[in-house]
Amino acid sequence: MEYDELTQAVIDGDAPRAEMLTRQAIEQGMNAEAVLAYGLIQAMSIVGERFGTGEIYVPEMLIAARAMKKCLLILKPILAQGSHEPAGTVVIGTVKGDIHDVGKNIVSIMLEGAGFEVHDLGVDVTPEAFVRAVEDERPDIVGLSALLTTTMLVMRDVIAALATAGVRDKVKVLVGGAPVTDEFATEIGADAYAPDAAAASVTAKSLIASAVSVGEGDE
Amino acid sequence: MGVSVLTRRERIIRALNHQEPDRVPFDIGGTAASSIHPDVYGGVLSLLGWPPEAEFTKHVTVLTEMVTPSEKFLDHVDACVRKVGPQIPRRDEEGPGYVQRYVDEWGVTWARADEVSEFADKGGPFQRHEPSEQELERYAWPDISDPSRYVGIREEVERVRRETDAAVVCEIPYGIVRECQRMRGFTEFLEDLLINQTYAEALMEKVVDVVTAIIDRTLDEVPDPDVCLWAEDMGFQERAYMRPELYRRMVKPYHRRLVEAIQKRTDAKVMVHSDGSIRELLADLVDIGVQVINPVQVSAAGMDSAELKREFGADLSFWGAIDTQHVLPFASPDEVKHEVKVRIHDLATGGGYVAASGHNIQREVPPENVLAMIEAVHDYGEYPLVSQQ
Repeated sequence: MEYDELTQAVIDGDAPRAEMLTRQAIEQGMNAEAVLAYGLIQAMSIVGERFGTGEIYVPEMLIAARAMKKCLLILKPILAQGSHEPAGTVVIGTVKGDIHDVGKNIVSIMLEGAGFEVHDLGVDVTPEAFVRAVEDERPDIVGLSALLTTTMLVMRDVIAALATAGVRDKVKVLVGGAPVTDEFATEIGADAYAPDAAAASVTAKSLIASAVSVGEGDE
Repeated sequence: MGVSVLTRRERIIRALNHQEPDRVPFDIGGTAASSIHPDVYGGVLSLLGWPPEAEFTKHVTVLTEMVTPSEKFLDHVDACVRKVGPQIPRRDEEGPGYVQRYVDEWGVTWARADEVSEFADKGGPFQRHEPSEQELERYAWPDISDPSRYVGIREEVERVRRETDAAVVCEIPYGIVRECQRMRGFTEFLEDLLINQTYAEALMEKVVDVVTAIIDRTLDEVPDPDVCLWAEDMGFQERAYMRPELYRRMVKPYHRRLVEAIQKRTDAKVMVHSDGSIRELLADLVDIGVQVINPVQVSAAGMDSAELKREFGADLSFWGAIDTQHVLPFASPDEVKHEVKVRIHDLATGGGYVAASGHNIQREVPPENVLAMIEAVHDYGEYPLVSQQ
């Protein structure tokens, strides 16, 4: 099995072929970690780029992510035996008062595609529930979503609650949703804003990278 | 030159015929996407020095807790349309003293966070199932003959014609993609369009059969609407749900059937609702007979009002466009007035524009901004437009 073939099958959203190639790779004794990195995550990174340039749309992105997930199910038991670390951990949810989850779900799919471990708190999530999840899961990133102009204002409350609980500086806050803008993100003290799911996964990676470099600088 | 005196209905008809009426027609409460939250409406009445209206007609559409303003108010603000249309039957309502959760006629569950929030769909009958055309065949589809669906429509049309000079919008609260996504799951259906195409077509076939039958039956009750609106959703903030090629191949034939069902029965202008960025689908919508788009979400990518008018103004009229994502909720009254001025400037030359908020006026919109919008439509909306003088 060549990584390129697997990557292409995932990009095409051809789940049966991608699964077949993943099984083949394992049977051939290839390293599961490498199959994940060079086959699957590589594919989703290309998918993200192509979405960003407008070459593909959400449906193509979704079937690629679906194929990727099916392959991941094959790899997971093997990865669990080794010392595999996810790209990072994300706690994500739609803020209180808002029960729209289309955007948030697509973001979760793309984050998983990028190798993140995602804890999805669902919709109508109170600031307290975000704080609890940060304390329990110790994520690198908290993702906040809102569709409505009414509820995007609640993002500010979540950030305040994180500060009050003394965990604001332990996480990066990434915000998104139709009415949200870069300016709004800055105004409420979020760390980053992403306009779509592909951008969210790229931004999440760079947030992790910047957190690591800041951490190293502190030492 | 004397100012011609038009009825509000004539104003709408002229504008949608791409002629300049006496002034830019205004809509508030005339579609499911140009209504106003009860709290904001109360605030506007109070600014006007009017007593509260206890008899608010809360029309909780499938989505929002919004009111249809009183005739007194609508007349005062020169609102040019009234909407009529079928009821959406519900079952299994539940909640703590108010409806928090229900199941609609398609078998889709709806829920909301609290009494003042919007509903969102929380799961449909085919979600997470293996795609099965047999399941679609066996499914209990909405009963289109259920008379409760059509109760009161005819009387309301007669009332509007008798008591007002406004135009009638017949609102068909259904689309094809939207209904399929709700029943099958938002992302699942988008995936089906690529990898389970026969199933996706079978599902759209079922939905279009129901929707066109409801259109037919509804138009028995509304013999001469001025506008017939159907409700789709095909745009994210940044782009359309699907590439135009996929739309053309998979969805467009069903949209065409829906529009034909309207055209077969009435000469009313055909208006489609879709939020978000849909510019790349507009040429195809024009091709199947769509004449008006709503709500023209100018803050979405590619939806610049001047560009839309330039590119599609000969074929399409625009209904909405006053920004609700940034301006109405968060800007000052002066900025709201400027926003209205810009949209009229961009869209109203030669007719083809009905001024309205670019979606429902949500709870956090200051009542002052609503009044500023209404005043500005009046101040800047007279033909010849300021920008033409």
